[in-house]
Amino acid sequence: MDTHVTLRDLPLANLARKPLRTTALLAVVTVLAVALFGGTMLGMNLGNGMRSMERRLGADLMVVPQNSANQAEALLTGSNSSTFYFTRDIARKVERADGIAQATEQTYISSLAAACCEEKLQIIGYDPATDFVIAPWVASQFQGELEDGQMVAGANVNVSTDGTIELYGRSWPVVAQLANTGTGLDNSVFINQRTVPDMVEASAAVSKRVMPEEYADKAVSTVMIKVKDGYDPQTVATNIKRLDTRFADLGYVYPGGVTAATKTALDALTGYMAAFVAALWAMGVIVLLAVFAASANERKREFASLRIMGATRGMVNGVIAKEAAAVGAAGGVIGVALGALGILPFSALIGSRLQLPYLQAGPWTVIGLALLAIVCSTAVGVVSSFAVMGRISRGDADIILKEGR
Amino acid sequence: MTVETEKRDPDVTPLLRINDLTRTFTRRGKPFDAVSHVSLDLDAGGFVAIVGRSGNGKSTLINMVAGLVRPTGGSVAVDGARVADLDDRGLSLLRNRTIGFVTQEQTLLGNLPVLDNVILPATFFPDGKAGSEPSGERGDGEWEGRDPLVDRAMLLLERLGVDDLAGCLPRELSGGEMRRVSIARALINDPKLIIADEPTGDLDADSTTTVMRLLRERADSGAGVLMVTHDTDAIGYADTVYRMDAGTLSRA
Repeated sequence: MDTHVTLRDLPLANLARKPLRTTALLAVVTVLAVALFGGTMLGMNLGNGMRSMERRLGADLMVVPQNSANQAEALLTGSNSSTFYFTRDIARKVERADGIAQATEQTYISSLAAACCEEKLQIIGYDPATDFVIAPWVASQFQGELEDGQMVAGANVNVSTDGTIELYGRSWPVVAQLANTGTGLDNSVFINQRTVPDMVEASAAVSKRVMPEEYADKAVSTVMIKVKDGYDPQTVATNIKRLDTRFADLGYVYPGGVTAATKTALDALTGYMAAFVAALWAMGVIVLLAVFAASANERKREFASLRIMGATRGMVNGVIAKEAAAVGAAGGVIGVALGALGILPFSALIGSRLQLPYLQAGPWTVIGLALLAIVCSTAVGVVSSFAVMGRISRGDADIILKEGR
Repeated sequence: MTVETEKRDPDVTPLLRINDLTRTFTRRGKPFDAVSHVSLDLDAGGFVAIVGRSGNGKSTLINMVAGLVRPTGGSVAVDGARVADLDDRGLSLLRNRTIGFVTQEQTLLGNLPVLDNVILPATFFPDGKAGSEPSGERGDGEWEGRDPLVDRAMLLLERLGVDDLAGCLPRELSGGEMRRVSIARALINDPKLIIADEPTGDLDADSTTTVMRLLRERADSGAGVLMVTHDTDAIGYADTVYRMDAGTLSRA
């Protein structure tokens, strides 16, 4: 038996038979959905990156070599790798300053992006015995002791299927890979301090030596300091400078300050983004209202016909609302799909271009955000169609029919 | 002025009772009665034609009967129900089930093919006649075994000579073809009262005969027909003819 048309089929028939109007409405809603989904996700990911960075920067003060403070900050917030160091005797002397609760040394080596190495990485040597910054984080993925020659890899580092990384012509075993942090640490590999001389020698064997041979076993890039209760990092820095007149030239980085500066930049960016999305939505709603209002005039005859045939106001409003909801939902789905395609595969690139910590939200959050964007897009379509319903509900059907001529 | 169809039994409630109906519009700031104190009774099986020059209130009168225009004064009762007392659902149900309205304007839905346009009104209220057997004689049984509503619509389209256009969109039809499809749509629910505003306006002589024979058949089967027309050929099918002049109704 044939199935016949019903009033439920009318909204889709109306949309299908008016491809230009439907496409225009879809385009507006799609732009709104992209803006809402993409803008919110970018803001959320930047916020995640910020919080992650705050968690990972457990030190109150970093003491680095002269003229290296900017490099150290860039290493924390971005993906710029670098090599800088002073000697261990300086580090040991720094650690004797008043007000220090804990101190640990780290050595930074930037690998080459050359044939010897799979990619340009930040190599971070740390001392598991004294470390209070990296070890707690590494412990979440790796319980054992990091042996000489072994590595722990950051989230964005490509590890071979055999569990190694190619660096300076050698394969280094990777014992664990860390979760994403959204910071420059995701592009780093972690080794213990005793492995640093091996790495230096390996670099000398295949390319330019990353540091002179005599510094290989005594190079320290930073002393990470946690201050005692009652001391602030600036006071401790002053105490360090009093130890030796030459220490005034050292670089002093306050991760809390780095975090605050990054946060300010992030707040500004997310503020602009929120304002942009809000403005776009306001314009989009106005455009939708205008399009629906224009179509109300154009379609007066059609709606009056339904009333003459015996459709109730509710039936006519239902047709209008279903059309609007279908356009809104379809535009929402397309917008979310485009937003996801534009953002999800390019997390690393976005983070690197923004020079801000950027941590992709988890799948459930993304799904929730997608549903929210689709619901909002559907709702904006339906709310805009209320303007049409108002016009159609007022007045006699015959007069509406005459107006629609 | 009060006029009644001939030979009506005063004890029988008429299918349509129009009582002292008035509709006042304002034109250039001055009120005028498009319909002025019109009364009319129409029994089931009666066929009334109203003639008159354009702008004399004929369409306004029948639009008030269908509840499409609210009267300024007086009342209309259709099948015992006072139109003014009905809420939106009641009025819609009356328009859908009791009245079949052929408008002067082209009111087919442009996004639906002809067949769907005819069927659609039968689907508004699920407790209605959707799926009932088609009335009138079946053609050659070509549609047997299909959806009864499709059968019914196709039969009407065939009676009106436009069954071959069932799959066409209204924009592919001539004015006369659209008019005949509108008539099929108005008859899909077997209405008790058929209101037709210039039903033969766009039709040639043959099509006029086809349409008027169908309306006459409906009247003979017990439906009331209220027709507004300028067409002298159509007038001959009516039992009674009235003239509308400056909003007032009188026997022609």
